Amino acid sequence: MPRHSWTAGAYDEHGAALYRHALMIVGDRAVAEDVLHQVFVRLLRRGASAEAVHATRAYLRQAVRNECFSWLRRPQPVRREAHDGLPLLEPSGPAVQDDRVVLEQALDSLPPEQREVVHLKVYEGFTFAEIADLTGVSINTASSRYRYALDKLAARLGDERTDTGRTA
Amino acid sequence: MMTDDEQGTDALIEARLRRYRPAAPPADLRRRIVPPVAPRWLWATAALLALTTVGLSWATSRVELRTAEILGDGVPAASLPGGPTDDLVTGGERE
Repeated sequence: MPRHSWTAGAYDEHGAALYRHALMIVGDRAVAEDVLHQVFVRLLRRGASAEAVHATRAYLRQAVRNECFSWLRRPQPVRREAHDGLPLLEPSGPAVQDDRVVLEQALDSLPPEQREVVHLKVYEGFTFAEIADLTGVSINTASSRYRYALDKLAARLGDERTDTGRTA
Repeated sequence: MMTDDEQGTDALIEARLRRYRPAAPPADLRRRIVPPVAPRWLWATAALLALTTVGLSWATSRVELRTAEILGDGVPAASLPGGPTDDLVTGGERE
């Protein structure tokens, strides 16, 4: 299969999920776009081997993670300058209470590793074993990161949680 | 071991998070990442057009040269592409 069609197919199949994964790690839409661009350009340059086709999802996930954490290791001023301030979340259904900003701020307060675990668990339905496999940590570590993240979110959303309980 | 209260709190937070999802990629991101490629028939048509143009150009120049030769405009027959050599023109009678 020609490189171009293979890459286009990989984007069609995994692009949106990869973008969302990157967005939840870096917390910035423009940077998430750059990350995806870098990963796919590298893929086009390397060409697609048969093995890569079989391991597309895992390969792309790993490549996106590496690119994201590599960006996060860059100096803070560069990162602050890149922040575009666009919303990270969008409603998943039509009738949503407008508390997006509060949730975004709460998520933004988490370390990227914890935010990533929350994303994989809540939005992608990964098990802790799958998260551990993808992120290269033990299942216990993955589960602890999730626990810490939820505790922090609970603390940050404390007041609103009461409201949610009432309205739900 | 998690208490019922903790599990309830977790469930509430997860439910609240699920009312949203991470933003989708912008519509034009695919085009920026995977630039569109012209379909094969377009490349084939372009190649055919190019070949036709070259062929027609060659044929026209050949007709012009032949006409000039016939009209005696002083164009040597040997200068025609694929034209006769001096020997052929003179029928080898020069000697």
